[in-house]
Amino acid sequence: MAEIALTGVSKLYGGNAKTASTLIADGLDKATIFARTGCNVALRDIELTLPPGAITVIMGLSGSGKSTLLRCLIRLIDPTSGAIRFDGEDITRLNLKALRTFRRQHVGMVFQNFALLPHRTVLQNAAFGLTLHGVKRHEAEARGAAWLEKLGLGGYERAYADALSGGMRQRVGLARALACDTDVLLMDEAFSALDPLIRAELQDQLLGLQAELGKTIVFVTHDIHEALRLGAHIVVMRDGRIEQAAPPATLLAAPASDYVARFVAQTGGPAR
Amino acid sequence: MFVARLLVLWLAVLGLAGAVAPARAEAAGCPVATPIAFAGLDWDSGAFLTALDRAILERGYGCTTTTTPGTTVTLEQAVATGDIDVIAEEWAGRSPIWNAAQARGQVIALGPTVTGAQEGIYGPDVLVHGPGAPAAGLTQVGQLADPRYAALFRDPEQPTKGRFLNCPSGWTCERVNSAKLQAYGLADRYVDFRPGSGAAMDAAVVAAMVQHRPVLFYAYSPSTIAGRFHLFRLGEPPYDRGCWDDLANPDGQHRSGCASPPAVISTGLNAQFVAQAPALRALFARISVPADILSGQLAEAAAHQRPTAEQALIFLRANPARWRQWLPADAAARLEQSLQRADGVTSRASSAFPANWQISIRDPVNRWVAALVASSGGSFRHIASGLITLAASIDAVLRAIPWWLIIALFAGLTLFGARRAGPPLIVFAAFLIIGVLGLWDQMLQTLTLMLISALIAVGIGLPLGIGTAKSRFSQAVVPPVLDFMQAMPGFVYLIPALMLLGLGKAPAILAMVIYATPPLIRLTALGIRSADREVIEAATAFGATPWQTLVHVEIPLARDSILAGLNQMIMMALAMVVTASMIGARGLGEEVLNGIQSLDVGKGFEAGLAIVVLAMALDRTSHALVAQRGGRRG
Ligand SMILES: Nc1ncnc2c1ncn2[C@@H]1O[C@H](COP(=O)(O)OP(=O)(O)OP(=O)(O)O)[C@@H](O)[C@H]1O
Ligand SMILES: [Mg+2]
Repeated sequence: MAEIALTGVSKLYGGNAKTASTLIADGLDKATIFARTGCNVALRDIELTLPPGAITVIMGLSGSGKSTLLRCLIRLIDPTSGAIRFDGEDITRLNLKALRTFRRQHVGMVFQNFALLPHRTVLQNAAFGLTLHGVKRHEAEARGAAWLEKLGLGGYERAYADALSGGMRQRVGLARALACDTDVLLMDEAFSALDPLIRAELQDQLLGLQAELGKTIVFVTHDIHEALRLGAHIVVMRDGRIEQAAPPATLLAAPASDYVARFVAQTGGPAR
Repeated sequence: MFVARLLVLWLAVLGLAGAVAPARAEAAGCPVATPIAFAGLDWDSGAFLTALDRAILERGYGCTTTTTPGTTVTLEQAVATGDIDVIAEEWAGRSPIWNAAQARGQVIALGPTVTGAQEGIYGPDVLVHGPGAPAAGLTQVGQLADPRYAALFRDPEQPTKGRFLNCPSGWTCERVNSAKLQAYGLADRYVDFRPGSGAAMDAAVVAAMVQHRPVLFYAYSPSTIAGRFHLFRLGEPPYDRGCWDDLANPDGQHRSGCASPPAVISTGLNAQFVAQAPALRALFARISVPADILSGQLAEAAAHQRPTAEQALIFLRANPARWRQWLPADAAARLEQSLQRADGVTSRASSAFPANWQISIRDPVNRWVAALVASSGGSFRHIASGLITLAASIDAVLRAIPWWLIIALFAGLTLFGARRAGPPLIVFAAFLIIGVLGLWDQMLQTLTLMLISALIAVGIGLPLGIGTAKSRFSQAVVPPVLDFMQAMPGFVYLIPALMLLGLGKAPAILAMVIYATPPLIRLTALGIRSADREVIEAATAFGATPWQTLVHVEIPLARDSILAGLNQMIMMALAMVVTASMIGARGLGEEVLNGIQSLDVGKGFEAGLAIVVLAMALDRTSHALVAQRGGRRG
């Protein structure tokens, strides 16, 4: 089981990063640092351990750094500083080739707008990750087809992605990630573009899969209901910092700040 | 360029543009009240004589003059209709249009304006005279049939034959020269090569002379070439009326050849204009310059890169004795006085740019091109011969396939790609139309050029487009280069290009590539840049290499844009076909050029239509083939 641990991870965009780093150390807030240095602090000094074999939800308002954090985990975005250990190995030190191998072996990812290839069929899309890894087309498609079947898309293999509904497309996206048979699944607002019913359906499906497969899943959302429904752990972010990281029950019972409390309030007040 | 000139002429003919380049002078003393409209002749001696006449009329008589550019035939036509008053150099008797107008009494030829003019088939003098001359003993045209001479003047595009550099299509001399080739039994041994434009003809001869290559060409004196180089003229049987009439007749027998009639070079005038100004009639009847002196003036102007107007003034200043015989005393006095003054032809606009701020890059460019032509002709010719060999083999393949198979092949490929009936039907109809119009052969020649230039354009355009989308450096550098390629008038680089690459297919392919590649680069870059970031990110997340991302994601996502680029590439390349024919490429472009240069609008339209339908056919085929990969449209 993959254990992911972040220590001192920061990500700064633009401006004068050096000065900004000292200002971060001085504890100034995001807006002040931006005003002084023109530097956008997307992540500041993140210390976080993601429990293996469970769903961790990252939650927060828009711009709080959720996507940046998720992308840092496989270096789709390179953090400015800090270490990200994957079963003890610091992936920020990997060269490009090793990084590709790491991505292929360990992670699958699901995207908000599905990120399917419009010029390929559902089956080819589901097999896309595997074909990139050099798996023979025949085998890749067989494995893709099995996942499509499992996610209820049997019979749609020959259709093109843009002929499907949003919910079906995201199932294809999910099948593509699952087909790679990796231990980590990253999902960035994966269900946010879907209508409530389909969304609930997919959430259930995800929980079912998790129970069966026991993957380490990192799920980004700005919706507290989704967070509570899916997460074994919830990480609340604000302005690039972690406001609170706790199991749902703790979050509801003892919000660490007003910011967290306001999220909790949306659920109809602190739960018992 | 040419088309623009034609347009200006038509406007003039319609009476919409009377004065294109008015030169102001007091009207007092001028026998006519309105500005005198000159034909803007674009060949060297014509331009010089025009400048000479205008200087005399403006400075000696105080007249106002204008010029209107156009091709010879259109200008002759305009003199007949009275839209133009004067053609300063008219080869009277040679042009059917002129002869007809003269017979109707619409025009009058006065002269002789040039004495001792000659024309015929020429070569460099060093080939026949001096020690080790490779063609020593060659004196008569008939001797050219000897394979030894055909090999000496070898055609790079058809190496088994020699090349005879004829006049451009549509010139009066072109048809006669072709008839002469046949009459002298040279038609099988020599390629009857038409350079497409006067500028291309001169550039080809100059390059050959400078690079000391054998060249066999039609030339005339007075001309810059005759003044600049030491040439020898091949002897022909003496002029004979019956023989000449047969040569000039397109349907003639062309069994025996003879020299052209003694060239009578006159000043051509509109009859009504002459009737209105008897004083000018007397003047134009007297103006006369010996051909060799005129050639000398032209060579001098070329050597110093002087405008002809300036050279004309230098000539007038240096030869007062000559023009005193032409002008009445009062006009001569006034001309003399005017010539003593400074030229005063510089800009009079109050907004004129400060003269001492001006920098000219003309001379360095000229020196550089001249040095390049003189020194690196050989290496460029290697490139050219590579292109020519490629063209020859593609041409041979296309010609070996029966016409119906070519149609079937293109329609079949389109059907295979498109999987619909529409596009292959269009392709089928397009080729059928070309065949029915009788332009199949020309179409094959154009198709060969198209295939090669498309191949090169795609080879350059796709990688460069991708590079431009990906690298900041090329993003900064490539667009201005493309602007340069698209906006720089073609002839600016084509004339030097043909001096380096030789007249014919090679510079034509270059022109088409230069014109056709930019849209492909731009649209490929645009497509790659606007590919969905999230999909690219997905590929990266799954561990795709940059190459895999490019091939499996970015290019397919950019497909529509790239297809639009391919379409534009084909359209641009075909739009260049006419220009290509001006530097000696055969095919549909030549037919268009031929049609408009001889005022045969119908012929031009036929060939133009063939170009359009060929463009459509090639577009549908390429579209079907590219779109087919990767299935359905996204
Ligand atoms: N490429 C970039 N350049 C500059 N700033 C960026 C860039 N990407 C993100 N940011 C900034 O980093 C911060 C965090 O962005 P991020 O996308 O991680 O937020 P988020 O929590 O995912 O928000 P959302 O819910 O809107 O997706 C924001 O302030 C954003 O403006
Ligand atoms: Mg986000």
